[in-house]
Amino acid sequence: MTQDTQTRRLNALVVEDSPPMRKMIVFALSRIRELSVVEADDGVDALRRLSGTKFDIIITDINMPILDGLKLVKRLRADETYQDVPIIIITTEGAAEDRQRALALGANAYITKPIQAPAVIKLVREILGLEER
Amino acid sequence: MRNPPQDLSPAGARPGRSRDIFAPMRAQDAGQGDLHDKTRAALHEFFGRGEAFVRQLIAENERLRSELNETQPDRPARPELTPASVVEGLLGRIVELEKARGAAADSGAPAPAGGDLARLRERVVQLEDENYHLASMYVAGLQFHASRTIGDVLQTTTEILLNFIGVGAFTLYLVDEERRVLFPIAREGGEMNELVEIEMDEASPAAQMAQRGRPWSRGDPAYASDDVIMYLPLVSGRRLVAVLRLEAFLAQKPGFEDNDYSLLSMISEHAGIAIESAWIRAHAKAVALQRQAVEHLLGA
Repeated sequence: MTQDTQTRRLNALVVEDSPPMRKMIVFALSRIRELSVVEADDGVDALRRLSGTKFDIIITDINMPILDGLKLVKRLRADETYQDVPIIIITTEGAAEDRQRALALGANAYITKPIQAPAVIKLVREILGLEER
Repeated sequence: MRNPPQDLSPAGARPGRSRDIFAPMRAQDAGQGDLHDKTRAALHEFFGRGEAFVRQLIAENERLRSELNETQPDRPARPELTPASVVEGLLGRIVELEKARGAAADSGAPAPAGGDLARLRERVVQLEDENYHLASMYVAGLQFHASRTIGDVLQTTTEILLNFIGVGAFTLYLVDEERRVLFPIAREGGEMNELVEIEMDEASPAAQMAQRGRPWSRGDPAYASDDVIMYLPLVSGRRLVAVLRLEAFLAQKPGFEDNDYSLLSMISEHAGIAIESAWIRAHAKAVALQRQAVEHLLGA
């Protein structure tokens, strides 16, 4: 864990239009004590929230109305503030093409549905460099 | 809980699944006392949070159950596995384990080592899985009770089947009670126009489910045939409202696992009620909330 993460809580943004999925991801992330989690319904809602808070990690679905996950990744990578912030995308097993596009656009990792909480926790810890508890 | 294979990696690398949450404790250079302290602290925190969460689930479950009893006073009692009984059982186990931990600490017993530690780790992983499963039950129940339209119910059902259970192809048929047929209303993993209505003749699975008149639970007939996994009745009380035909699992899902059955049971019981409520709501006249009318309803 870096000096920075030792002194403040980290902010995570979960962008998912499906309420049950969003709740389950938030539940999984709530097991990481160092994280504060904010939820967004879709890409547009995410951009609204991103303008007010600095997030340390973003977890986003791909298929969403209005502004989908691919467009969101592209916009984030074009923004100086979010150029290096880790992005995890949520995909379905069959959506290999979307997954590859998201990774090519700058996403760091992906998880597939149905998600497994322990695996999500482990991945987020790894990416943020947090010690396993 | 189930462990279907899944992609999970930074940029395509695929590390093996590991849920060894005590990995840091294995460091050989850490003293035995340090290990003991860490173990106790981790367990204390884990059980504390687990208990708080489970209590929250029980409260929510009681509220939903009370709501259900109010809307359906003649609803038969169900002694089989329910979310409440699962929650209460788990709470009991958490309390037992907490007591055992406290007793061990009071007796000044040394920190668990070797086989004990391995068993402890395994148990913590099990509890994490159970905790996650309870959360999925809670979220599923909450979503059904928050559904206001039939569209909401269909969306919730689809998301639970796809994202929580891992069923990738299914069709939802609603019951046309006048014509005695099932008609397709939503499909995942196939084309709607390929589907036809299903007659509810006496030999059909639907007619048998209607006759049975209760939600599905583990051990009940699955009414499966060669081309489907099972037919799941969606009921409201004794009324068959809809039938879910589960046709295929997602590629990474080999089959049902233990926790899936309680989710299926919840869908069977709650999705039917949610559809019926949405149907009644769609035909209800909007009336402003009024103190006098509310007090009259309450018998005040």
